[in-house]
Amino acid sequence: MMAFAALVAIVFGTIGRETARGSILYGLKIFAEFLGIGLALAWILYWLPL
Amino acid sequence: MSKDIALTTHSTGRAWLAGALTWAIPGAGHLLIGKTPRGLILGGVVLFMFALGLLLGGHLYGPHNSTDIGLLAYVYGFCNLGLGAAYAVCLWAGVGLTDQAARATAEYGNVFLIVAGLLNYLSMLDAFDIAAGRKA
Repeated sequence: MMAFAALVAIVFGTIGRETARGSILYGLKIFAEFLGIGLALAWILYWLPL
Repeated sequence: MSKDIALTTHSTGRAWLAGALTWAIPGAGHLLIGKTPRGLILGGVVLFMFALGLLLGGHLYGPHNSTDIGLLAYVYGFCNLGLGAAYAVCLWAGVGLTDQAARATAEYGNVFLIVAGLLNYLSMLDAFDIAAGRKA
């Protein structure tokens, strides 16, 4: 999940912003969101009797 | 929007070429229009995800496996088609076409292959927009 999040964040960061600083910050934000939402969903699914 | 971006909406032949080239070879369109670092990053990530997907046991979708999962093969196949020449070479060489469901990482591999194709579509649009003057 971390590798996936990192790779997608690199592409989004590169495409989404035009300056190097903007790209890095946006990429880090995307990466954190991927991990945060992934972990939150994992815990929610853990408690659901599926 | 910065002032140095040319506000033009017409698409030149160069823009179409950049887009098509990026689709065929990830990152190549950016190299054509002089965005070398951007092209190397985007192309590198897409091709790395493609290789990782195959190594994890993922497989490519398309008409060849529509009998297994039906119309969904065309949806996933469209995503995989974003890989351009890599997809065509795999179809031609018969690489990465077999479902390896017994492998624990096969589904992860499928996701990597699908998303690699989708990210290359985004790269393609990015190259087109830059070459058309819509983006710096």
